[in-house]
Amino acid sequence: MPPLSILFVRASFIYLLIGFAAGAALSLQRGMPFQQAIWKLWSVHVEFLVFGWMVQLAMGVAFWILPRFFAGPPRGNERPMWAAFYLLNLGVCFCGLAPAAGLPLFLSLAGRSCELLSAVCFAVHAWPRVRKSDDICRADKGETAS
Amino acid sequence: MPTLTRWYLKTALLYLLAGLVMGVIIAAQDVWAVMPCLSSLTPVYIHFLVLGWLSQLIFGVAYWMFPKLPPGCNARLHESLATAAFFLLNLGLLARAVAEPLTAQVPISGPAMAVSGAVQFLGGLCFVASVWHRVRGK
Repeated sequence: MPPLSILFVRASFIYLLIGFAAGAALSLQRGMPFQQAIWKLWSVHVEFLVFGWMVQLAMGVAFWILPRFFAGPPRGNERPMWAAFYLLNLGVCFCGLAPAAGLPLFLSLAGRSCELLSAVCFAVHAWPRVRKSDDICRADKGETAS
Repeated sequence: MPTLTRWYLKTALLYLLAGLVMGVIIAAQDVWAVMPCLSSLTPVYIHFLVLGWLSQLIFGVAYWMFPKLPPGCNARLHESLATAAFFLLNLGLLARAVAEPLTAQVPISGPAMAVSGAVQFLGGLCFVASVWHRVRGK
């Protein structure tokens, strides 16, 4: 697994745990109400699990698994993926924590914008890799890999 | 495909079906207003699809596909953690499915909801602990 995928996947696991913890607190409040402020964790629960855990894991595994190139860097230009990593995590933190902390709404807007940019960066990186692998291409042409 | 992965994937498929059936019931309730209490199924529906279907599918495939444990790690412990995660997640989810619609009517369902959340969290913790060291390079 390449280092960038390790980063994506481990980060997603951390979001999974925080999201589950927020969910456990919300379930506790739902079943045995004790502190109304717990409901503020809703944004953390949803944002961290949907974007922080699932989307991030998908990006990390995709970067690992998608067909590699025969010539040049095997996984192509990695810079968009690095950008995607930082933008996604910035966005998730803004969108998840800002409503919970009662911070201004424009931070949520900034967070969503970061997530959108992250997706664009991921697509820029991944699009050319959604193809037959180079080995298969060469076999189709009757060539053999050296 | 390892046995545990088969458990995760087949269970995930069952949750997908159950979740979608629930979705139909909730939509029907919205249209015909047969039983108001059916609307309280919405959180259960969401959790069946997101946790029961999607997350379990991911857990099962990750358990199968991630790199092997590095030398020196206790493979039996990690397998036990992954198995514990399976049972805890499903126990928590099913407890939630029963308790959530009854929270307002049956006193015991309140604590059951609280416990279900904690059990699901423990399941997630066990899973992360079981695969953390497998997230590695060669």
